[in-house]
Formats: sequence, structure tokens, C-alpha cells
Amino acid sequence: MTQDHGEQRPLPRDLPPRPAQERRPGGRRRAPEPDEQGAPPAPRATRTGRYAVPPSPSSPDGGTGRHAVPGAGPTTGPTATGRHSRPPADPAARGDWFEADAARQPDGPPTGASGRGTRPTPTAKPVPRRTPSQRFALPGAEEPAPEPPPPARRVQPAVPPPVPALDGPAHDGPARPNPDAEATDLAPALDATSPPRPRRAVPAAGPVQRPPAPSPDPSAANVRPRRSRAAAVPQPPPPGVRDEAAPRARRAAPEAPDGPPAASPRAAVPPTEVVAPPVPAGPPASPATGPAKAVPRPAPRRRPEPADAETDVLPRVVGPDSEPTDVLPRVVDDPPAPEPAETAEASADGADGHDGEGAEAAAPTRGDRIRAAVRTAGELMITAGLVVLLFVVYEVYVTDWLSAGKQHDATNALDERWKSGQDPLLTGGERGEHYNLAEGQGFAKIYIPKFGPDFAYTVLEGTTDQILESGPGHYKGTALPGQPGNFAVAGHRVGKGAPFNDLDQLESCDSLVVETSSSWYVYRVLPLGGEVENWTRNADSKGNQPRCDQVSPLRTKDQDGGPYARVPGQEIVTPDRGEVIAPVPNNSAAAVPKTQQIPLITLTTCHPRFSAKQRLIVHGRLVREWKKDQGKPGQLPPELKEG
Amino acid sequence: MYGWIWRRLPGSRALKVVQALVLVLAVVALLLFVVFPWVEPMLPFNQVTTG
Repeated sequence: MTQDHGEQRPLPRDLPPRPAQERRPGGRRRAPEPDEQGAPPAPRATRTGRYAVPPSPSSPDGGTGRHAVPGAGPTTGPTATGRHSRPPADPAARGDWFEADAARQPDGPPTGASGRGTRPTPTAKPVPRRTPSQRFALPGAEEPAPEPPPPARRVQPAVPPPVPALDGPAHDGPARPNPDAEATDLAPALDATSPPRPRRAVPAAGPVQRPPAPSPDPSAANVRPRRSRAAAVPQPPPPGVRDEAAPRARRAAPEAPDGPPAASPRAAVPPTEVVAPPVPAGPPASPATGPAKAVPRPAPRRRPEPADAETDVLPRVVGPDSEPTDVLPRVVDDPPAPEPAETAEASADGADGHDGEGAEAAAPTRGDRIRAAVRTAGELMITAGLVVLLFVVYEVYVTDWLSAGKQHDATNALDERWKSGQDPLLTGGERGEHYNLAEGQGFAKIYIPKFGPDFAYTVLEGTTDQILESGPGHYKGTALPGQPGNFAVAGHRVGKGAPFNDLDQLESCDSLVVETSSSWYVYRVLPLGGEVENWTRNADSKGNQPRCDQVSPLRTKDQDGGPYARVPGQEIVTPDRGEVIAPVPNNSAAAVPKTQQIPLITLTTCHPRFSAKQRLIVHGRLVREWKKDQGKPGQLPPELKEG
Repeated sequence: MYGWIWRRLPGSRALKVVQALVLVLAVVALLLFVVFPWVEPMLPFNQVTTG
């Protein structure tokens, strides 16, 4: 059907100009040169034929133009021709169609094709692809063959020999095809939408068909079968096409009426008239523009139709001359099919508004339930995936924003206390003994110049999850900044501001500056495990660099290396290694007097990133303390400028 | 599921879109500020302390 539509489209465009000229000249030309012209005429014929075929679908235009007039007269011809012509229009595809149809269904559909072919069925079948064959067929019937190339003309030629037959066929051809096609289309449409229309179409078809019945000529017979095919074809599509068919039907309905009159003129003036019909077709063309639009819809549907409809329709059409009535029942039959389609569509579209219907329709079927279940499961899984992705975004970005706010608040609070002289580290009297720092309260700031000049975090007391969300947390009970012992701090590596995100990039001698209300304490990372052996061996050794002048392995010359023998600058341990934050790291049993303990700093975070499998530990030792000069609040230790 | 929700949103298509956006934002907010903070401590990659 699509082909038809496609043809129709061209028709409107071409029709106005071409129809009059082309058809006339075409006919003339065709007469002389069937083959060559065949192609051109075919298109024309296709046009006519298309109209004829599509008419039903392409309601008004096709209908009117086709109307019957062209449709009826030409249709017969065109229908046949149209089919024939179709091939030309779409040489390969259409040609195949026809041929295929003819071959497949010699009876009904072939009849249509065979109609022409019927006489020369064998020949016709091969021929069908090319209009010429049809022409031949027609010529076979009568000389009109040459003329036939143009569908309308063909019809006309056919008409002359058996005028009645011609009329019949013509009527039949046009009427049936149109009506039938329309009827069929209508039928579905009707079923869906307008019942009356089909009736109208039927009547038109009725008269037309009747004539055909009388006309024993193969042409007529052929036409009928073809029509039948066309009708059949439309039928299958109806279900899917119904919507479109409905409009077509409507359009067709008006056309149908026109069709009859057109038929009458045709009958009156068989040959010339044929030409005339085309002219009307031209006018229709103008409407065709309208149809052209409509055409696109039908096209897809029509294609499917042929295959399905063909077989079914054929029997019915062939059998009774009183197709009109028969046609109706068919229509009736078709409706059920369409309904399912509609329901399906409704269910599909259910989301938009007719949900109730769709839901109801879907509920019944077991397949629908399964489908719904699978769909829901899929949606849930996709949703779960999106939630996981959102969680990653939350961890990496959102917690940063939240923690930044908390850190900001903690810093402001600490600054306020320092300004007001309420430093918790000072209120407890002399430093170094027991300070009861409020948990979650900031008491110092940590700077790591290597991470940039803006790397500054307020360190809070405690290491609970809630505290660590605000910033690095001080292990309760460990030494305070500058005190002998181990000033241990934990910090997040992923999200929550990730203060220790790059802790693994620290090298030996990198400075870790801790600020309190009274002092700046400068710690430096101890020699890494692999650097201990050659720390000061050569002039180029790291231990001889200026900034490492106070950094050296804590291993002593003692046989066992002393209590600090196992304190490297960096180490990776399992989470259960609590001794890394002991006053003497990795040596909890060491009995070193408090006053003799080395002031150390220990930073802990998770390792590797995004994992809790291990812990990354960094040890440093205090190398310098800068007392804050209250008279010079803005003074900063030079170590902060290290990069 | 989503089709079911969409079908039950009243009003025109535009209204439905607005309502759907509100629903989505509400769900996202619920996840970000309630569910995720609650789930987070049970997950491993934020344990930074030893001992």
C-alpha cells in the first residue's frame, strides 16, 4: 500500500500538469511505443492505478480523482494498470509484488494481475512487472494494448470490445478496487470508527461490482480478482491501519459517491473519457496534496496488507459477484482484529491518558502480566543502578560540600576562642599534662605546604565518624602538638573534604606545620623505609639536604636499634595495628619516660583509596617550634612557604 | 512502575512534568540527606582510624 501512497504523492504533484498532457500524449505515445512508453505510462498508470488502489486509502483525492471516474474507468484499467503501473513506478518492488502475487496467487490476486494475466496468465505473470505485459494482455484482448499502457487508456481499450464488459470492468475495476479497497479499508476503519462509510463505499462498489459480474471478460474478472486482492490487502492492514483507514474511509466515502458519477462518465465516454477521468484525477490531485499527506500513513500499512489479505480476500471476491454484501461481512470480520490492535495501541499509549483502558486491556493477558513484571523489574534495576551512581556522587562530591561547611564552622569557632583567649590548651595550666579537650572541638590547625598554600584544616578532638566529617581528628589520649609523645591525627582520604587525600605523596623531610594559639610547630616526615640505610652516605644523600638537617632515622646504634627502630616516615598497615599511634610507634611495650619521648606526629588515613582494607600511616618528628609573637599576629613560619 | 506513576499524576503534560521533577528531586534529597548518611557508616571506605 505504501507504494500506492508513494505513487499517489507523485500523482498530486504530477497530476495537475501531467495528467492532461501526459495521459493524452502518453496514451498516444504508448499506443505507438508500448515498451518504451511503458515505463513512463506505468508511472502514469501507477498514478491512476495508485489512485485506484490508494483511493480507498487516500480517501478524497484518490477517491475523487480515482473516483471512480478515473478510478472506475481507469481503475479497472489502472487498477490492473495501476498494479501493472505500480511496478513501473517502483519498478523493482512493485513489479515484484505483482509478479509475486500473480505467481503466488494465481486464483484471486493473480486474477487481478492474472485478470490480464488470466487470459495470458502465464505470460501475464512474467509480464506484470513491466506494464508492457499488461499492455500485451490488454492487446491480447484487443489492440487497445498499445493504449493500455496508460492504465486509463487500457481500460478504455478494454472497454471498446465489450463495452458492457468494459464498463463492467471499468466500473468493477475502479469501483471494486476503490470500493473494495475502500470498503476493506473502510471496514476496518468503519469497525473502528464509521460504519456508515463502509456502507457508502459498498454501494458504490455494489454497482460497480455488478457490472463486472456481467462482464465475463477476463479483464473484468481479472479486475475483480485484483480488486479482491486490493480489498484483501487492505483488510489485513486495517487492524494496524485502522486509524489511518478510518480517515481514508471518510475521505473515501465522499469519494465513493463521486466514484459512481465518474464511472458513469467513463461508461459514457470510454476511451476519451478515460483521458477525461485522468483530468478529474488532476483536480483530485489538488486534493491529492491533502491525500499526499494522508498517503504516508497508509503506505506502511498497505505493504503488510497484501500478503495477508491476498489469500483471504481472493476467495471471497472471486466467488460472489454480489461482493457488496460479502464485503460487508468481511469488514465485520476485520473489525475484531483491529480492535486488538487498538487495544494494543491504547495500552502502549496508556501512559498518556487512556491508561485505564490500557491497564485493563493489559491485565487480562498472561503475557501482558509477565511483560509488566519484567518491565518493572528492569525499571527497578535501572533505578538501583542510578541510586548507586548517586551514592558515588554523594561520597565524592556532596560530602565534600557538607564537610566544607562543618570545617568552616569549626575553624571560625576556633578563631573565636583564640581571639578571646580561651584556648583550651592554655586554660589547663602548663601544657604537657592532661588536657580535657571537648570532643569535637577544634584546638589546632594543620598545614601541609606540599599540598598547597591553601591546605589548612582545623583539627578537632576525637576520631568518631561525626567528628571526622568536620575535619581531621585527634586521637584522644595521644600527645598534643609539641608535646613529647605521638600527636596522632586521622583524616578522610575520600569525600568529607578528603584532607589526607594525597598523604601517599608525602616524602621524607616534607613539613607538617601545626598551629596552636601560642605556637607554630614544625614537624618533618621521617626517612622512608628505603632511605634509612643511605640517609647520609653521600653528599647527595637526602639526609644532607638543608631542610633535613634535623631529620634522621630514629634507629639508634643499639643492637636492637632502640625503641624507635621501627618508625619509618611512611608505612601501610592493617586496620588493627593500633600501635602506630602509640607514644613510641610500633613499640607499645617500650618503657620510655614521658619526658624522654620524641615529639612525633602521626597521620592516618585509609588505604588504598575507596577501601578500608589497610591504613596509610605517616610519621614525622618535631624539628622546630615558633613561638607566636602576640605583637605580630600575622607572622608565619618560613616552612609554610615550602612547596 | 514509572508508567504507573506517570499515569496517576494529575493535570496536563506540563503539570505532570513539573510534578515528576518534584518527585525526583524529593527522592534525591531523601537519598542524599537521609539514606546515604545513614548507610555510609556501614560501608568500608571511610574508615581511616586504626586500632
